[in-house]
Amino acid sequence: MIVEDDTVLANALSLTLQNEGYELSLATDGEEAKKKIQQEIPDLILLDLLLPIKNGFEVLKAIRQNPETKEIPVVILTNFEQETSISEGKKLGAKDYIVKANVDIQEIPKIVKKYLPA
Amino acid sequence: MNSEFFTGLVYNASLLLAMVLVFELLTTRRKNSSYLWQVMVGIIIGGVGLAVMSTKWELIPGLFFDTRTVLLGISGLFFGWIPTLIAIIATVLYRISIGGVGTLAGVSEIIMAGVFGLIWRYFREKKLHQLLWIEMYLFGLVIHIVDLALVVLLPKEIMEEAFLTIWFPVITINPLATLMLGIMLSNRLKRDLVVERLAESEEKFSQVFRNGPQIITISSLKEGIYLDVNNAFTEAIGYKKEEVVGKSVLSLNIWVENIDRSKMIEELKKNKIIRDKEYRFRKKNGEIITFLCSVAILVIGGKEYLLVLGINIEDRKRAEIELARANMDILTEKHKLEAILHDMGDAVFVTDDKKKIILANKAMEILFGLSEKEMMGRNIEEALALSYGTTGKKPVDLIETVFEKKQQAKPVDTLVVRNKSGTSVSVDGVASPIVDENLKLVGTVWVLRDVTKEKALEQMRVDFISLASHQLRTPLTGIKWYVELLDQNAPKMSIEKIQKYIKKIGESNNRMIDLVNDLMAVSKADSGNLVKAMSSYSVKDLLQQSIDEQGRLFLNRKITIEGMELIPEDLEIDADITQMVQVFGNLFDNAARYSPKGSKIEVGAELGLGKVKIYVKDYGLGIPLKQQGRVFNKFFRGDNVAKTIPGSGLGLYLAKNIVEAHGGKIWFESKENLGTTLFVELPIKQKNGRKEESDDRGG
Repeated sequence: MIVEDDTVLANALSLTLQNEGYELSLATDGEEAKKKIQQEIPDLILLDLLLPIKNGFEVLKAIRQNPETKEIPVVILTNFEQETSISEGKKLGAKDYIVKANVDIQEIPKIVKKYLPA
Repeated sequence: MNSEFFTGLVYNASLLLAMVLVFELLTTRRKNSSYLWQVMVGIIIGGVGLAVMSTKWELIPGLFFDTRTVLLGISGLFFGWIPTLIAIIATVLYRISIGGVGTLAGVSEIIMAGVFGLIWRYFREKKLHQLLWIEMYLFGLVIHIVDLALVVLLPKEIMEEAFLTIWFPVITINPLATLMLGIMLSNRLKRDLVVERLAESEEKFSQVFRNGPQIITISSLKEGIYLDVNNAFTEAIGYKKEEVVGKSVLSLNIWVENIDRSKMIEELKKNKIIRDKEYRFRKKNGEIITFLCSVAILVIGGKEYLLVLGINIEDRKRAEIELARANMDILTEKHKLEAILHDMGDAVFVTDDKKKIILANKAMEILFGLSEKEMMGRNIEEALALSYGTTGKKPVDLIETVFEKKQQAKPVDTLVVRNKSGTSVSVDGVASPIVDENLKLVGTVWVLRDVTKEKALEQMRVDFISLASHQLRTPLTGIKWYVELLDQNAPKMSIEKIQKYIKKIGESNNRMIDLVNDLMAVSKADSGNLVKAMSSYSVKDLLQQSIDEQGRLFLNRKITIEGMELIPEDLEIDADITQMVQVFGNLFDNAARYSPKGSKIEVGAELGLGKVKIYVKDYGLGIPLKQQGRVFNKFFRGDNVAKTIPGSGLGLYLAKNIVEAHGGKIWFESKENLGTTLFVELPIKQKNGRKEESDDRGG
């Protein structure tokens, strides 16, 4: 699942991952993400942090609190970079903290592959 | 009784007294301490003895009577053993040389009288000036009773006749002669003593006058001519004694104010004495000197004199002035320091070496929320709720460094003050030891500075950079990723798809440009350089220009603007027009962006007292109620629009800054899904004397 409020970036991510054959779901705000995660129980979540309504950390906490979702691997994919948010993400059990601007689009499928449970 | 014998004895006694008088004249006022003098006196007494014996009365051949016993008794009593021994020897030798039947008795009575006098003297312990006449008479009587007893040494055949002849005159005349002579000598001793004491006392007073530390002058009352002055005076005034004595105070020009002397004399006539009054005098070199004087009138030989006793208090006066000046300086410095300390923005407190607070300023009271009473005399660790921000521990390291090591100490981390009211304040500070000249700690001084604002500003700066870089990175990432996608896939892609990707890149690029422009504006707003060129401008023109700039957006979204025709032409404001167009451009842009396609935006201007209220009303998405408090924050985006409608979140932040820089206000009313009305109130330009129309023109 991709949680991304920026449509341009969400489009680019969707295109790339669909090309690799992944089945995708998209949420564009925190509240929507929470609902969809509970319903769909995705295999992996690419989570943005600065989201409308509920931010990424709130979403992450909700994931960890629900026994059904708490084992889902989460990779934080954001352009917000602050030491406190990186450590907060790690504390909440994010597999990785990736800054979007610093990663090539081709790397995204590799990251997904790396953290997707076998 | 033989009258011839009696007369002889009287004559003899008179001679004795006369000789003693001569002796007295010769020896007056001489100290009788040296041996030589005592020998001289012995010789003189011996001489007198010989004279007395040579005017003897011969009772029978070889038996003489005279007053030698009186002389030798007195000599023993008054002159001591050396003169008496010499006199005894002289008279004994003389008596022996005469010879006759009475030689043995004669020699015996000489020795007896001398020795008796010496014995009396010994028991009397020399206090001879205190002799009373009765004692003197008794002394004479006892000597002569013994003298009579010595008749037994005469040959038996003349013993009886001799006794009967001499007993009466010896018992009557000789004791009287002894009495007279003794009293005379005793009086002389007394007089000597008085003279001696007088001389001593005169010497003493003279010394006191001459060399005493007090200034003493004696001058004639009327003419003011100096009769005598002492050394203290001449030293103080710089004249020599001979330059002053005989001269008048006027000719010496010695009083700074001559009237002071006249007043002093008047006062003296009334009160007899003046005590401890300051008078000013002129020294020989012209300097002014102050004496603290006591003055009295002396009458010497019927003439009146002025006695002045004084103390030179010039040094004391100078010291007093210097002390007063120094005290004043200290006081001024103290007040200055207190004022600085009191009004200082930083909290300052001082402790003694026992960690007790002894001084705290106003800022300190405010910072901790404690009154002066609640801090004074209390231990810093007990009185002050001060701890490290991250660990929550008391700053023991600071206390140890400053109190134990006597070194200046700074906190290793931000300190937090827990105010009595419960609020927390971040502080930075420094603690310094105060040591005396022996490097002993006397106290410490602490300065604490409230850094809450700085911390908040620092946090804001960090947040701004994080948010700004996030906002910039997002379109950049869009460009990057689509360029990468094109790069990889272009050959396989359809022209339409490629055009679609390029359009995305273009959108991202435009967002970047808008964002950078907004950031520039924000930077200007933050540095306070917003308003540059103020000029008069019609409100209607301003709104029209702002609408025109958004023309394409309105066209795309089929938005209509209503109400412009109702805005009066002549309503003018003073504004930086470029900035103000940006404000309203932003308001129209927001209104159009967050309204459904084909909806309307209403605009109007209402004239108030000295100001105009302009509004822009849309029927769009509105702002969620829970977010309305943050609308004018940097980077704010409404939750209901953030994911669908691009924007920097800087527009309203900027608008608020610009409006406020023009002395205006901005606010809004909004309901989610019903629409938003933004209000801007600005001061209007007052036209010369003409009252503005007051009817509502809004619509």
